[in-house]
Amino acid sequence: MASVLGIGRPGVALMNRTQGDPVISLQDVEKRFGRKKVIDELCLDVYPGQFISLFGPNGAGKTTLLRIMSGQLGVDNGWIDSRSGTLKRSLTGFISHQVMLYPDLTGFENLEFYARLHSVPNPADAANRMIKRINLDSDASRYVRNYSRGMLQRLSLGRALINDPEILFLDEPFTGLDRQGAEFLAEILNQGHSGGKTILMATHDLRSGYDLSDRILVMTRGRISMDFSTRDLEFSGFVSSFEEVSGR
Amino acid sequence: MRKAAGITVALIIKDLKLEFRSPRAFLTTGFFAVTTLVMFSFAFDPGDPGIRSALPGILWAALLFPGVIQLNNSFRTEQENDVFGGVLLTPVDRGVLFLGKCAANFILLFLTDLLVFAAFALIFNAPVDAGYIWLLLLFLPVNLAFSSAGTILAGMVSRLPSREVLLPVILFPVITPVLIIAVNATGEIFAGPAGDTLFSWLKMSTASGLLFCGAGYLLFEYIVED
Repeated sequence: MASVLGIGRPGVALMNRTQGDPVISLQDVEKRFGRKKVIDELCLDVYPGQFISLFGPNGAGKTTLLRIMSGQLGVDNGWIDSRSGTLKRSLTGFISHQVMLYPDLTGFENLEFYARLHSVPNPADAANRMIKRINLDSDASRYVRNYSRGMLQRLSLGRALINDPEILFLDEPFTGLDRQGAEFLAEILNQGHSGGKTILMATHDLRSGYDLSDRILVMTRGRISMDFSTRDLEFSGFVSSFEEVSGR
Repeated sequence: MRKAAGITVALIIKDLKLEFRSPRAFLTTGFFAVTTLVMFSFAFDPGDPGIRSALPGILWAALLFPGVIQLNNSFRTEQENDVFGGVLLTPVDRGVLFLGKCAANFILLFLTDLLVFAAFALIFNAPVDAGYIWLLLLFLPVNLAFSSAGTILAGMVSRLPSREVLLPVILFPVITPVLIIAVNATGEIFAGPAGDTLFSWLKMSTASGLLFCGAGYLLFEYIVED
């Protein structure tokens, strides 16, 4: 099991069959909030084009890890080498359970605003194209305050994709979505993955996470306790291993 | 440079749209300012020539406290949906973010100044003449200092639960020298034709405004980043 899961040296299990240098590399990273160590000597390499699902119980450090990798949080110890650092924010997109949209702007205005901040050429055109891609054309001129949860999540997806990022971070993107919304999100993510984007997604949805991704990480107490390719382990085996590792 | 200017304009337009679509802060600010002036008009007889020396203080007191409401609100709109977190995920230079936010606050504070001054002139029977153009000129650098210092400090406390109490506590000591300049300059304007003393106050207020604005541009990154 250890060779499949890569326990003890996360990233090693997939390293041999992955091309190119990692887009994100973490070495012995530690992060504390007050006295609590949230990330504990974590090592991880993320390679171009990988779709990684990150699982773990609440408080395991998934969101903190995504925020560190996306350059939102600094680290207390260790080092991080990434394309998503301060100078490369134009290459990344981030979706969280917070939609990061202005309620008193319309859907179109929100996307156009973010396109301008990303210095996307012709921001209005880019916003219009994205509005169509996320199927919100008929609601583009409505204030975001009046959007449903599913519409907000779509618009949030549009916000994160407006700069056509190479690396996409998703924190619990399926939260609050109905079946149709979840299917739409999965379709967009599949398109992105097929297009060569690197995707890291923290989720509690074992089935969706397993089906979408090609690499699975399980975190417990700030460390990676499982790291394997979905080609090497069936879903049922993953579920039983996950329950064992996370103490369920 | 052109890119930074374009982004600054986008940030200003966004803030003004948000404010005028839901003008809670502007209305609260204006209402509070006018109420303050009305209270002063009951405390001091507006017809009494003896209160002339108190008028600059009354005017700036009516401008200062409502201004804090405006500054607090400027970051409150950024907290909803963690939208400021989304803005920080973009590659925009943090100094440019500061300039956009500061400029929007400057414009809104200037509009408040005009409203309050109109109410002030009405309530205290201030004869509006050509000399008052100097007062409008004085509003510019003082507002620059106030909005710059306020934007830095409001950004600093924006994620704290007690931000509305904390902001005035840390802002007033910082901005007091500028207020002293403003009150003295206003006294000069009310006293009669512009002279060298007024120009000195104007130069000092301009220097203060530029100093606070420059400091905000350089420091904002350290304030908003982890």
